[in-house]
Amino acid sequence: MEPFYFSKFESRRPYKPIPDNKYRTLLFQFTGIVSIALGFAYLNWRWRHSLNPDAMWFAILLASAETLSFLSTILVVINFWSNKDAEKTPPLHFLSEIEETFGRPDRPVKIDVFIATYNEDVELVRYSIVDAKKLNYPFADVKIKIYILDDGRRDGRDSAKQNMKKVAEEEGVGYLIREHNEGYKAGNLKNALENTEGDLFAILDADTRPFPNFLVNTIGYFRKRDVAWVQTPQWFYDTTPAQKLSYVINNKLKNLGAENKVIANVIDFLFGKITFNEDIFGNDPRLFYEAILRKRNFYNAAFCCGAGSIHRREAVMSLAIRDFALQIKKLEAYLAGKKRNKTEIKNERKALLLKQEIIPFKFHASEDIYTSMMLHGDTLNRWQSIQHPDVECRMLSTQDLDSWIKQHERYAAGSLDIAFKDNPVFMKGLSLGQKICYFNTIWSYFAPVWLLVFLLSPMIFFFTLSLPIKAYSFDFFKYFLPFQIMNTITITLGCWGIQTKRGDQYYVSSFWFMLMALFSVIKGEKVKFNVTPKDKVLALNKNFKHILPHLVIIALSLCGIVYNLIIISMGSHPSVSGFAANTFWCLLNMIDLSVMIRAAYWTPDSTLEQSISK
Amino acid sequence: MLKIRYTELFHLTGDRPLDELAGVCIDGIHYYDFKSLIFLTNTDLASLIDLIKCSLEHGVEVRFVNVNDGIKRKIIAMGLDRILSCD
Repeated sequence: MEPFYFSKFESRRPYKPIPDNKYRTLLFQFTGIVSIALGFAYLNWRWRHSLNPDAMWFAILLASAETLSFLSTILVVINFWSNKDAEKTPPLHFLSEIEETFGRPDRPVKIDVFIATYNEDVELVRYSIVDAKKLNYPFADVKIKIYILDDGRRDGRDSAKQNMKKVAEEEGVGYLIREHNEGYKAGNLKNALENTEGDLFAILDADTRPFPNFLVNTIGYFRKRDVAWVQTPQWFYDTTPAQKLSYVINNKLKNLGAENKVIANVIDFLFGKITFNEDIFGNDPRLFYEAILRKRNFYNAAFCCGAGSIHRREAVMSLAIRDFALQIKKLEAYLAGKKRNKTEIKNERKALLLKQEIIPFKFHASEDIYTSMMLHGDTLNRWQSIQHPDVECRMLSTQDLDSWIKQHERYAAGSLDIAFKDNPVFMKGLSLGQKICYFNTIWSYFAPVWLLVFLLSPMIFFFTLSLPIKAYSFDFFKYFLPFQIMNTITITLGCWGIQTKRGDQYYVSSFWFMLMALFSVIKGEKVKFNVTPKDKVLALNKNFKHILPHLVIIALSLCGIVYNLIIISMGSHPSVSGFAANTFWCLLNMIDLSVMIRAAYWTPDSTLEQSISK
Repeated sequence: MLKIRYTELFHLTGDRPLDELAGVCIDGIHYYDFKSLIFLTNTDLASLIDLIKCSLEHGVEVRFVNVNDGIKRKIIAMGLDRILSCD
């Protein structure tokens, strides 16, 4: 098969899930409660005793941001409260094992594997097909059918496009297309469900390559008749490898025409263990799947993320039909309210019936989370979801900042759009735990509101010389430090064994595009479904617009520090301790912001030997 | 899964395979006999909705006869009682 950039990462193997430990969980619960108590004490002190009356607007702004941020802490503690992995069971054989047959003749279960594609390189999709064809299953009479769902209509009609249909035929798998792109991926899946008949179906993206035991390890969960879907962790096997300091420096020297092996050896000798740029785009989703989503099993609130998931057809069809019926009822009620005569109502009802569609996955930019929410809220069936802990597929990550931001902007805008249109907090049918978990996801996308305040606060101090608190006194540290320390311990325990550094940096560094996503949703703009490129590295000049706000903040911060140093040297600075505290804060902000700047100018290694492959 | 042969929608005659529905069109109303059906899956229900829509496009109403209580209960539970006409 045609080699791609990711061919060099073929030997990478996924992580093993962290075993559950009840003592660690208990310790987490203890520190979590203490952390929340200390947070309340700190905020109580902040609001009641620390606001600076000389700069009240600034004081209230920062205290409000801290309060909003603290709500995140509470939500995270609730999310991480406990773990409840579903019991693994062997693969099933017959339909009667997953649903009541009501006297119908029993038969082996049918499984479909959908590979959704739009414009990806057909040879890249071939990798996914080939791996899907290698899927094991212990029962020979269980039919596993693979279908390519090509929303790009690459069936040979357009000679300018690659021919996806030809690849599907060469590989001997099914090929499904439709003549429009309504509903994007959700519409593509709808079309597939209308043309297939599997009792269970797996969703793979064009770049999702299942390991041979993907179905063997997951299908057994469906013995529980209320399990609607199983999500496996998405694992990106092509994240950027770590680079030695000597390599980074020598590369810069090489660009200047001054490459020097001696210097490289000296740096290696002195700082050999220091590495840079590992997963520079913060693509590794382990924190999300292993800590956040896996722990939502406890509340039956783990949501589907699309690729790498397996679904019960009856569950999504049940949702689709009930939604269809509900929409018709709503429209009928609307017509009844308009006081039409019987013939008019009959005609309009007919028009509505013809217009309304059965939609298994919600037509939305975040169709996965939206559909999950609806299934969880289905009081008739009380569907269960399972976040499977082991990696069963490998996927490709975005390889440039512009694509990364477009992808995450869609996640943010999609989730925020749900918050404004169908807020889970007010949704009937969801349990309290499910409401909190869904709200946690949505709330995380409001982070730019307080992050912007945290990023601007040091600068406001530098240029106004006004403090948001009365003083950086002992009282401040007495309340602030215990809360921060306990919070760090709590998060460390909650994310035990998982690297969070890159995630923390991107949390701050993402403030700008997340803010833009928030504004666009507030303005009522339609959320665009951008297909994430996985096979190309885009031009670097596209990235500059994404990092401009970061550069401005860093530049202003540096100017502010210099300005304050001048005032201090003149002996007229009103708060040197305030300067020290804000400079420290500012430096932490700059470190976090810098990751996106480095990502913007990151280029793939030409010589992998010089980097440390994981 | 229930299969409907749309191309034969208006001239269903003779024996049908077990997984297809027998029907007859009288005075602009197409009747389908559910006598041999003991259960419907959600996918089957979706097929029936598609059948109704397909018929409506041609100005034909659809009614289902000999529907057992279990299927009727399911239709009501799914909120389709005003969409799928059962006798």
